[in-house]
Amino acid sequence: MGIFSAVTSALHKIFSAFSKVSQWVLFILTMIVFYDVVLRYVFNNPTIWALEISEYMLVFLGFFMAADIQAKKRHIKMDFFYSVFPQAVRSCLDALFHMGTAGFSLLLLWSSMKMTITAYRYDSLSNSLLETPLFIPYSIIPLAMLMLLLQSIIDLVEDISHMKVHKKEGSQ
Amino acid sequence: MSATMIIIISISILLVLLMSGCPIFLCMGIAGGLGIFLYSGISGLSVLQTTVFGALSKFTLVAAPLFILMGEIIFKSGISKDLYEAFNRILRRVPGGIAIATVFASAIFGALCGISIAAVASIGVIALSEMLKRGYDPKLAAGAVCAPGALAMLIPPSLLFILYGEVAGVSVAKLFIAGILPGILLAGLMCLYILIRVIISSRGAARDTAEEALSSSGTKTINILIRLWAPVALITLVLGSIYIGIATPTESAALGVVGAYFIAFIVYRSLNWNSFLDTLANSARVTGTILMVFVGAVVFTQFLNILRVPDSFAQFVASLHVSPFVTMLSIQFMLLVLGMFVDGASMIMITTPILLPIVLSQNWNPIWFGVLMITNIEMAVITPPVGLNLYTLATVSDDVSMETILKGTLPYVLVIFLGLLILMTFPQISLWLPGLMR
Amino acid sequence: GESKKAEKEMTLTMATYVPVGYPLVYEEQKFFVDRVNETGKGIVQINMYWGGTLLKGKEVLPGLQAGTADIVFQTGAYLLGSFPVLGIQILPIWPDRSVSHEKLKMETPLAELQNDILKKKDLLQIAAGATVPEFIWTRNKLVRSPKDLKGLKIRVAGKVEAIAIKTLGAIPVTLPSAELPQALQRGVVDGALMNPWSSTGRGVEEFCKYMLIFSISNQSTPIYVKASTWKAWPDNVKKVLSDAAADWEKNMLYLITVKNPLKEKIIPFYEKSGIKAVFPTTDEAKAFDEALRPVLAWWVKQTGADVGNKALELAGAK
Ligand code: NA
Ligand code: NA
Repeated sequence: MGIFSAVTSALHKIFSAFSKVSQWVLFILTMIVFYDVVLRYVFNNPTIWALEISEYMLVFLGFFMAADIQAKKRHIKMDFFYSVFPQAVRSCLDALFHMGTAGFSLLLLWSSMKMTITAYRYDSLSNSLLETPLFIPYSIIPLAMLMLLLQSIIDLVEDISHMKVHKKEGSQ
Repeated sequence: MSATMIIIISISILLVLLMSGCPIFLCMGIAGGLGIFLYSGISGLSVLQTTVFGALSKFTLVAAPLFILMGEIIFKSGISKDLYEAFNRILRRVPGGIAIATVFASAIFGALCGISIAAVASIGVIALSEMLKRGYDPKLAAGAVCAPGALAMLIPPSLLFILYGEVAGVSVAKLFIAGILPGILLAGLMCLYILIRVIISSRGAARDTAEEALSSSGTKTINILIRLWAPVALITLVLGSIYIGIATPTESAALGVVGAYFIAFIVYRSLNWNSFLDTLANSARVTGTILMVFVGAVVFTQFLNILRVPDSFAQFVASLHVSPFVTMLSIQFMLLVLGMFVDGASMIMITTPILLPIVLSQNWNPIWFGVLMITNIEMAVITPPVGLNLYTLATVSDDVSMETILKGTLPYVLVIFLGLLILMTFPQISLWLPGLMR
Repeated sequence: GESKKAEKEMTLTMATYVPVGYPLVYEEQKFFVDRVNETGKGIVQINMYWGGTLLKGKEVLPGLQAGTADIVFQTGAYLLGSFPVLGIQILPIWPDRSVSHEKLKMETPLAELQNDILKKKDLLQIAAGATVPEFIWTRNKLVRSPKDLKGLKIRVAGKVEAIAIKTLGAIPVTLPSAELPQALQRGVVDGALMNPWSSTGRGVEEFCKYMLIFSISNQSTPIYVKASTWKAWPDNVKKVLSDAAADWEKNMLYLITVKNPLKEKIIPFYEKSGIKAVFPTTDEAKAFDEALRPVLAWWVKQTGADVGNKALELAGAK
């Protein structure tokens, strides 16, 4: 179990580092939109990049905190009934949900990875004057989903070890 | 497997997962993903790569994190105390004055902040302890703090309107402007309710004595009113620029954030480096959780589109031959029930794709429907078992029990429902102002 | 080689971001879908998703590449980033609808040249139709020559348009199209570059006083498939699609020259709603042609000199 907890804590450090980065992405995003507003309305000279870059930053904000939020169990859920279920039922549900998270993140990882590779292989650029190589913003989703997948595997391993502990306690 | 069968399976899975406490993004992601898979196999799932990225990389949606950040700064800025004090001083001589002042302050606060619990946690705490000190009925006091916080969702800027606009494909600017009069209407009804309650029951709330009112008037009131120039200017800037159309909601949100930082750092001097970092951390986290739910909603919506559910569902509802009023009322009751359990943002994202085809097939204005939906969610945040405002008040205040909060707040469900009926009967209340915008 | 025949009816998923009822373009695209579904009974049928319900504007090309759709309609502006050669359809070199139809339709040398390059990235254009010109519409400013444009903020949809507007001394602005009417009304932009066929009934005409009848750029919405999937389809399927595509190209020309001709129908429509159609004199038109030269040079640089110059030559613009 030593390796597992070492890997887990290393991963959690990475996840929370991405959360920190996201905070600054949010701040920079605000400043970019503000800067563009000022240029557009005050100096009559809008940027060609602000709109496009801010859209990519939003994708970043949407995905890169997912693993950290999952690790801290803060995804929005309706847990009214859940909270009155007996512990055994809750453990089973947790394991089920974590399997679901693993499946869902694997699905998005697989599909968005394909899109990223296609964009890279065909050298796809955005249709704006900025000409962003699209594989860069596209790669946000597979990277973030890889982290969410790792987190849900950690959760699953923990679920299983909890169940073992409960079983032992139950049989004693 | 027939499309109808797949739809039934998928929506059942969504509901079962939802009720069993599965994270909401996952409920919709699994229900939608499985539905697509059953209909068009593994290859059909390839659609997710483009739709998820495409749906999230939208400039209009950038307004969401920006307004979340603005609300967070306003929350931390100390404006709420001034707002409350100002209205309290003005309304002291009115029966139930502090309670009514809380409604007014919450409404103005709502014009700066887009989420429902912030007013409860800031204005509410101050107002509640003062009301209790002055011998207000604790139930009355708790209700007057808990319910008006919800006005922030209807009075622009509003996170829920941004999400609804994005899912329904409706102009967020028009939705914002449409929410103004209904928000004022609800605030008015809440005040009326307080007034009637205080007048009917002799022991409700004591009016201030003449000498108290005298001693508190004068220069201090004027000082507070002067200090309020900053929030008033910020509201004018943000909503004004949207209304006259010189800025999109996303652009005005950026103005709003910079203005809010100006107020917090320069005018109120209430923000330091650490609390500045806090505003970023909290807003980023809220953004992350909400956008994840949005991702789930995108997957689910794509499933509905691929199976052409919007068309067939609208036809199905039309084939029932029910009057539009009954249809609307049933929708609202359904939302009321769902709202007991689910938070507002998730509710918008789960139900909008399903309800929108009905709205369009009935020739209802989607802006008007959006207003009705958010008004309904005003009830959701104060209905048990899952009522965000109820828990927020219980968490931030030790002076009142959950039972007191519940008893004091539940009458507002009826007040808001009355408002909902008025808005249903007179669509002009919602549509007049956006109509002037063109 | 041996000819392959479909054993049973094939269903192709087709996507467009154009919504049902969109002026001109919907009618035009529906023609292709109906034609395939009529002539392809027992061989191939199209399962059509309108209005971005399957793939929205930016998603159409990646969606085709991913196999989400088997066949798509897509406007050139959305493809330029990956396929600069398609800019030939957008450049200000098409004075007339029938000329662009004759030069761009399938099996012409210019169509073959584009497809040779598209195939390298697994794309195939199976119909181009014709291009429609994009005019400058302005709120208050009468524009007759390039210098009238100096400093005006003009909304553009694509990259070639942006370069053209910049070259003329104006400021290109990118805005979502839904926000355009309001932006014009409030003066956020001073004008817009639009094709007059699909601008009817979108509220834009209310806020503009002038429309300059000069093609600053052009627009086309060809039909695309993946080259590799096309190759794998049975011959009778390909035949139905190619025939329908050829009919569609002819019908496109019919729609924009006979059913809705510019001079007789489209321009009078706008004049009736109070817009002044500004016809540049020969000298003024020449000044615009002259001023727009650098756009061609810019594009040749994007595609590489060989391809760019060859394409311009085939288009009759050299
Ligand atoms: Na608000
Ligand atoms: Na509730």
